[in-house]
Amino acid sequence: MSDVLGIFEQAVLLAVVRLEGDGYGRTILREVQRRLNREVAASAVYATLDRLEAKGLATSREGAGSPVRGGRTKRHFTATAQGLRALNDARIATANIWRGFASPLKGRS
Amino acid sequence: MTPQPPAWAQALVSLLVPARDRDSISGDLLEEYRETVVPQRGSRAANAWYLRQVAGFMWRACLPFGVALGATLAVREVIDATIPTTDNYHYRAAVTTYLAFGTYSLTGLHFGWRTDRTLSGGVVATAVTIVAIAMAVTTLVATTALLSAGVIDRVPSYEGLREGLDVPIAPMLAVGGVFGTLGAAIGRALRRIPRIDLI
Repeated sequence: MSDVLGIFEQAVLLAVVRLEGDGYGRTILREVQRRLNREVAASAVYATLDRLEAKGLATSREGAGSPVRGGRTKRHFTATAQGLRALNDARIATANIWRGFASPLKGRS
Repeated sequence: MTPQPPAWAQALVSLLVPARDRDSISGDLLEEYRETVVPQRGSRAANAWYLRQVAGFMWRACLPFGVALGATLAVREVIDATIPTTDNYHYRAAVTTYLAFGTYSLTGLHFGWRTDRTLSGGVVATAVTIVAIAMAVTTLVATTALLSAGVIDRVPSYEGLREGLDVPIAPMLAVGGVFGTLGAAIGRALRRIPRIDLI
């Protein structure tokens, strides 16, 4: 059993996977906001990326800067095999939890 | 002219993020500010956006230590308000003071190590004080309300409540800044000690 990922960790790691190794802080933040359909604090995304890297679910490498960034370097993130396993496990766990329920749920409010 | 977020806010970000990520995080924020936020919302709203991001980093930085110090002060408030003292609060004051010194020093040590900036410890310790005092005042108000309503089965110690209200905010900010900065200087120095592999 791999690491259990929370919803926000899943959103960040899926953004990393979607951006195929080219994702860096800004593009990951935008992808997460698009997936969650709300504004997200940059600090929350960086803290999560830090945690995913510490758990071995993602790795990073330094990339070149650009004038619009004031020449500052980028940090590109890639999901590891362990990270992909954790995402697959999270998806299976969610599907198992929902098995047998109609979507959307109906009942008295 | 190229739009720029407030210089002090950019400096604050550089004090709060890990040394390894300083360039990449401040570059990401600057890129988003210039390429997306300013064109979509204008300079004033973009500056407000940038400040919100800085506040997010500050909140994450100070929360664990702020809660630790706030809990120390809150417990002290409750004890002062409900349990009479026999030594005019001297022992309690000493314990609270040393715990606060320890928390400030640990805050500084952690941030000096993490950010490789001495000033970061003092800045975060100041924010820690604000969080802790907010927690302590909230606890005092709640304790007073519960005592007055008879929910807490104790005779209220009005002297204790007065002692609780007497939080030395200015000295705490000053002491926090000093201990935080000293701790950060030590944390920063520790980064420079080469690792020795014993095995």
